[in-house]
Amino acid sequence: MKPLFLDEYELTASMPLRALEKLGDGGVSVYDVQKIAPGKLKFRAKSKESEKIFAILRGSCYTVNKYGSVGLKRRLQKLVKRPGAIAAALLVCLLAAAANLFVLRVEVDGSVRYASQTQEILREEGLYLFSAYSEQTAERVRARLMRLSGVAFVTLEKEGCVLRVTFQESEETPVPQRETQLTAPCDGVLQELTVLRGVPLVQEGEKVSAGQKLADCGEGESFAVARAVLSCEGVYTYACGDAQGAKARAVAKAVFLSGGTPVKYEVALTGGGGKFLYTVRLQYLLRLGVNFGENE
Amino acid sequence: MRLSEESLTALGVNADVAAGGAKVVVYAGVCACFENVKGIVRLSSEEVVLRAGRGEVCVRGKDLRVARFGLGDLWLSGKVTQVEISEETP
Repeated sequence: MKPLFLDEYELTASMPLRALEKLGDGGVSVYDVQKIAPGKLKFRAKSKESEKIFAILRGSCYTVNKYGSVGLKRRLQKLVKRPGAIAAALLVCLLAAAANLFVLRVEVDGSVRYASQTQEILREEGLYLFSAYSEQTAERVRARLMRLSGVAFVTLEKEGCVLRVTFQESEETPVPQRETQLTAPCDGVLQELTVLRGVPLVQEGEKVSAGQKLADCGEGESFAVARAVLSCEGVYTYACGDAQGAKARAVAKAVFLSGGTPVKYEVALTGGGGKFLYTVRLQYLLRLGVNFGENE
Repeated sequence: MRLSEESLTALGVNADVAAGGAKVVVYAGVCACFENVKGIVRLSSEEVVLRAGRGEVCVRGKDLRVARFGLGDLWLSGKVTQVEISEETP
């Protein structure tokens, strides 16, 4: 690798290549050797070896002229002669460093659904555009962002003028909202009520109406676990053009619409002349449950 | 520049016997490196003659330039097309 600080020399002698040998013997390495004329060489050597070169090539056989510095040394010398340029460069560095203190852009990575909440929290904490960035504020923002639902980890990084917020979402699905009460969907008589968590509000054998609470989670509890069997009665009609086999279809329709288990039914047929109407009075058991797993 | 000792071992040449002779590595079209260079006999952009080890090394090519010379090592930049080594007759 070529040294950074080099000086350029011109050597005039009857045998200039012999001079290079002498320098080599003296432990001086030369660089970019060029023959510029018969008996004349141009070469470069390390700046710190300047005195050594003149010492080795002293005597009348060789004429050595130092032509100045090259490489980094030359650039430094030029720069020193221009204090204005140094001041301008320092000013630019200062401005760049000052600009780095401010937030000029906010980028949200990882999950875009937190973007608006992030902007809001940043604004509330004072980290908005063109505001100064501080680690303490960033830590406060990070703590608030960590409290958002479904967030496993958050990092806030300042890259130049850009504040990058990276979210890592929790892979666990959030617990669904659980029902707090068991209600009767229709009128009927409560046949059976099992409450594993919560408070029963109706006794078995009591009549209940649609929308009535059968069990409640109770005070201080977040959900109820209960199961009930309701005996209900409903009237369903079935119109058809042909009475043949229509009775079974009328009952099936009634059972389907009731959504329960049939206990007893009565079927009445009215009409005639290709226009029949079946009326099914169905007594059925309706099984209800909240948070009871598969047995609901 | 240090030529690989392994190459000597692989060829079954004793390193002591090989020591002192000219060592040349040519990177085709880019540069050439020489070891055990005692001096430069001739220098031009087409031909460089070196005194190396027990003989001379004549390098021919285009735009030849001594990039570094010192402590027995010489780096020649330019397109080297021919290297001729002549042993000194005892």
